[in-house]
Amino acid sequence: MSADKANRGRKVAISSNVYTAMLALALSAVCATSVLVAFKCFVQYGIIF
Amino acid sequence: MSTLTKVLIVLLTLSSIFLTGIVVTYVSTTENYKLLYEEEKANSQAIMGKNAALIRQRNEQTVAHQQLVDNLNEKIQQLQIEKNQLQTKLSNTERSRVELEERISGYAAVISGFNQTVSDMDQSLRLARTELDKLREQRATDRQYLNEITATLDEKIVELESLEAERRRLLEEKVTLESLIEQFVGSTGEEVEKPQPVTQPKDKASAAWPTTDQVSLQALVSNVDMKNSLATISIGSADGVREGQRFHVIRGDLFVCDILVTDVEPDQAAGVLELVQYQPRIGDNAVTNW
Repeated sequence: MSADKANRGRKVAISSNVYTAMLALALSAVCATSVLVAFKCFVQYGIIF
Repeated sequence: MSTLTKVLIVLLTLSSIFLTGIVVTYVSTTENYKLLYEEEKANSQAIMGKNAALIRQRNEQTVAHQQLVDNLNEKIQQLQIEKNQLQTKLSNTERSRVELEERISGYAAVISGFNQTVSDMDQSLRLARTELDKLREQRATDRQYLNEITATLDEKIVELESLEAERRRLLEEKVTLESLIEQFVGSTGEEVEKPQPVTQPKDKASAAWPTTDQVSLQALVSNVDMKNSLATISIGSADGVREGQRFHVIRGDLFVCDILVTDVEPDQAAGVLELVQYQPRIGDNAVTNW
């Protein structure tokens, strides 16, 4: 048996960037929230932390 | 990529979104505690300032209240003194009122007596008027009687004048007869006895003169010698002054002294002062009956 055959035996899955986008969304949400919290702290108390 | 990884990615994404939502919501809705703190601090300072002002004001009011209390205490003491004085005056006034009431009651009694006296005098006046009316009637009767007597007296006077004329005529006849008798007797040489009246003439009645004791002699003090207790009066024996007579020296209604006459001259008399009450002066009245 050859490599083609092996490839033929496997189920072909289509690669997708959906999960990457989800991870990017989650990361951007966390970053935006951190920025918002830091801005609020600076505005109200004068320091970030 | 395995299924588990995918599931984890999905769960991680969902949980991240959920948590970030919660955080954003909390941060957006949370309060600004610093601002609140500053506001509360400012309010606290303002309240502290107000408290200090109120305390200062309270202290000032306490001082003013204390001064007011002192002033009121002084006024109370002054009013207490005035009250005591007024009570004293009230007691004096009450006493005066009682005295005045007693005096008024006395005056009321006197007035009632006066009223009684006035009523008695009124009654006496009525009686006197009645008596006066009677006397007037009596006077009218007496006047009528006097007129009658006067008329009778006039008649008697006329009769008396006629009798007087008759008496003169008889006297003239008597003288004529006596002259005729003398001529007749002279021719015969006999002496004729003088005829005597059968009825003796009566003495004329005259009023008795009052004695000097009954007559009030009035004189003036003409000289005074207090050294020898002697005085001289302005009348003497020509006016009926006798030795031993006593004159009372008066000045108005005032008794001054007595003068016992010891020496009498026709126009003046002198005497010794007795019962001297006041010093006699020239011009004082001296009377015998006072």
